Amino acid sequence: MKAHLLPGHSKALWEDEFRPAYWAWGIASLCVLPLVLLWLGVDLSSGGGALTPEAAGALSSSELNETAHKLLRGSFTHTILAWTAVCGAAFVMILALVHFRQTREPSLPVVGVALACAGAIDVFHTLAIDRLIETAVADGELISFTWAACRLFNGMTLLIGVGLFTFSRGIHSVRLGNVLVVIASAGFILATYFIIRYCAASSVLPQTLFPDALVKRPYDLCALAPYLICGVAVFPLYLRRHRTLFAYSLLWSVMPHIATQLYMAFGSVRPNDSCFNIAHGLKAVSYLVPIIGLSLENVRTYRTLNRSSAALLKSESTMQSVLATAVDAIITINGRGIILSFNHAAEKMFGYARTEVVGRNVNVLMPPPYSEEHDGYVANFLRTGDAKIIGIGREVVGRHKNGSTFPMDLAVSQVEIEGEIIFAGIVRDVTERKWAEAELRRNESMMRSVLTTAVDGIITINERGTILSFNHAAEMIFGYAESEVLSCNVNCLMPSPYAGQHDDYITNFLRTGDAKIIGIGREVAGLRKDGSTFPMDLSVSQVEIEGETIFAGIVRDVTERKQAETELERKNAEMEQFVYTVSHDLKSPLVTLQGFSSHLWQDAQAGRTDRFEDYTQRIHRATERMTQLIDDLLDLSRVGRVVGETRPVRLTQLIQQCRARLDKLITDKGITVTIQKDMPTILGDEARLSQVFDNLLTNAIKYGCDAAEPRIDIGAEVFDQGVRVFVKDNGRGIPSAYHHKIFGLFERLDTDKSKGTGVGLAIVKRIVQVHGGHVWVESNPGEGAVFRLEFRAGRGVSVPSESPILEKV
Amino acid sequence: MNNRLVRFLLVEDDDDHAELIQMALAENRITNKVERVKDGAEAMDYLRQTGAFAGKPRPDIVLLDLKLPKVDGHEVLQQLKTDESLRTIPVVVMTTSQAEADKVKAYYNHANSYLTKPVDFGRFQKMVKDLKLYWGLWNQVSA
Repeated sequence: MKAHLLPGHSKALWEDEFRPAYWAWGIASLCVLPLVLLWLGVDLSSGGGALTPEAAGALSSSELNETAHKLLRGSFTHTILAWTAVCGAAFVMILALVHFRQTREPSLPVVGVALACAGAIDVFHTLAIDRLIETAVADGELISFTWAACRLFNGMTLLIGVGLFTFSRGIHSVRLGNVLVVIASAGFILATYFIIRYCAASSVLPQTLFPDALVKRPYDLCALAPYLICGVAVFPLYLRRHRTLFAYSLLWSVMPHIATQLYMAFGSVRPNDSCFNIAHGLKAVSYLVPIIGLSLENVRTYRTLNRSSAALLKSESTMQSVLATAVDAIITINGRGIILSFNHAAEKMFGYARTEVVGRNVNVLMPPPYSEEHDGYVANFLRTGDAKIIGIGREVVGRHKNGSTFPMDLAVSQVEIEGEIIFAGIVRDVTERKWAEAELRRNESMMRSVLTTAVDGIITINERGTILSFNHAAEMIFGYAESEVLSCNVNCLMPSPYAGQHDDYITNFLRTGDAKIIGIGREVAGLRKDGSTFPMDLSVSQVEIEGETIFAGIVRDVTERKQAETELERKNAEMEQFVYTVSHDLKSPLVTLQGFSSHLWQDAQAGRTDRFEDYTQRIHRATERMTQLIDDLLDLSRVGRVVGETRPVRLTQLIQQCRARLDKLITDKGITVTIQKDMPTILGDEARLSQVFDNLLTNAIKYGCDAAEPRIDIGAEVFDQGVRVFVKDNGRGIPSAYHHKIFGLFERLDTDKSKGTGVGLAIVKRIVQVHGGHVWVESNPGEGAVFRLEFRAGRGVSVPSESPILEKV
Repeated sequence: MNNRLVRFLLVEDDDDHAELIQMALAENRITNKVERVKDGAEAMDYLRQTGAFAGKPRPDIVLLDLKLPKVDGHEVLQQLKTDESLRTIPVVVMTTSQAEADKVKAYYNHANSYLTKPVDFGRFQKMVKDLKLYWGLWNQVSA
């Protein structure tokens, strides 16, 4: 803001229009003109002569009045000229302050105050000479001394005031500038006060007028020095730094100042002579020049503004509508930070109407401390070209009219319109984007936690099959840590031959869109880190993320489900077999019943009785058999459905009880039964286990005791995983082809149906299975048979989980 | 050939059923020569004329129950029909099973007929009559 000129920029366009050089010539001419007039013999003095009391007495009253006025003509002239200068000083100060309000240029008020203070001394000077205020010394000394003091003071204040802000490069802060303005102004005002007070109160003032010397007024020659310094050094530099009309006018005003001092110092021998009047007139001129400068500066500012707007409107009428309708706020400022335009979006964003902010400094749109640093920043940029935002764009903080602040993206570009640098700021309120970013982060963390806690494995891959993410569940399923598989090909999770086919499959899908899994889901084989494979449900979805195809696979290990399915299938098959067998075997006695009862009826009609007994016996046996079948079936079904309370069962005792129940059969057949004494205790349903040994013993008695000395041995042994029990006979044995078959429902090796229904061993198998164990037979024909039962620890309900698992009886 | 006695081999584990079938056959004067075995293993021994059945004549027709001890009817049928020397012997499956699976399996193994053992006498008679009719047709074809 302090500088108006870019480095290397020599001449602004407005300088052509206002032509400061012409003004300089005009002012210079004005300074020389009185000299020419004097040389031509023109008398520019006023008043003169003296009125003696004698002469006054000879005059009539009206003549006296006329003469007195003529005598005072010099005084009047002096008053008019001096007062013009005072008014000029006052105007300069007013205009400087007005301009300061707009531009915040701190040298303006200082110059204004300096001139005003000089004007104040002029006021005292004028009033004292006109005897409107009383002073201690006489007219002659006072008029000369106060003039000299005023001029010296004026020169010094201009030099100090302008010099202060010209040479102090560090004043980039508005606040510091203001402080300096106040300090300087206070100093000037104090100095003014003391000067006036000294002039008014001193009874003796230094002699300032030496009519006979070459230098009539040496004090004025002293005052010439600060003006010369201003004119030669300070003001040109000031102009270089502030290329404004005001700076020009300051510089040009040095000419009448110097002329004033010269006329006075060398020409004026007494008050109101020609040189005295010329000096006073030129002093007024030197005050008026800055007024004109400041006025024109104001005019130029507004004209530039208008012309810029007009130019924009004319050449870029669409640009205006773009600006008006732009979603982003667009604000243009000039080199001093003054807002030139403010679009609709900016109005909405900052809460200001366009008319409220255009012409004001852009720092109203910024919260502290940025608002204070902004002017300095722009000035620094204009001087050094060191850009912090211009051409870059960054996130800054904006300030709403209501005082609230918000984050905004600011991009500033720099344009030159009619010689003036204009900065265009494009502002976007990023509150929503910030919110969206936060929301995105929230969503992302939510997604991440969902992925992490998901029960199913979730794996994403890109179109080359590279693994992009691998959640916790996937780690559990496959046994890999995420870090181990990231950026590996997904086929490391598949057993061959699928692993080799997978890349081709993706390629084919991307080319043809022929999906085999995507969007469908199916059961495939997975490969764990330890090399084992397992069945898994895989459903794959496809998403496009920034032009790349990502596949998300959801994986569920279905090993257990497969096992359950297999188990269910097995049970269904068993059930089917059961129903089939039952229907067949139950029908069998019915066929017999129907057949023989029909024959019986035929015989009865024919009066035949010889076959009566045979037929009725057959019918009776079929009925009994039917009953037995139904009972056994009910028994079997109960075994499958009901498991009683599990408790420790002492095998020795249990089997001894079974033996006791079958004592009659054993004794009749003369069988030797030996039961091991120290068999272990197992956990189980005592009633069911009792049934197991009942059936096994019965089976052995029925089919395994056809030897000459039949014997049955029962024992048990503990092995590392549980207990094995055996029931051994020395009968004819069972061919190996039937070892598996005999445990099937209604399966008999014996064709004599009276012996059994073929359910007993099926019941044994079922009960042992329910206890988590299994049963098989070892036998060779002619060598007897051994039925073995195995109950494993930790499976089913067979063995307690607490110690002791097994104990000796 | 019509003058010769037709030799039946009845493979039936149930004594009562065997008696009923033989009575029905007799009443319908189909044959007077029925040999009976009680399980699948015996049936194969008989057909192959081995073991206790060495020297037994080859049967002209086999009446085969499916649910048999040791070796079941399906297996007997399969062995019989895959044996070059035996497969021309017609086999009539006679069983209580009405299960579709049994019928399909029996015909798949080249059973010549499949008869369900009826539970009422009338139908039993009809079954045997069907057998007779079948047998007549069979002889016509093979003659």
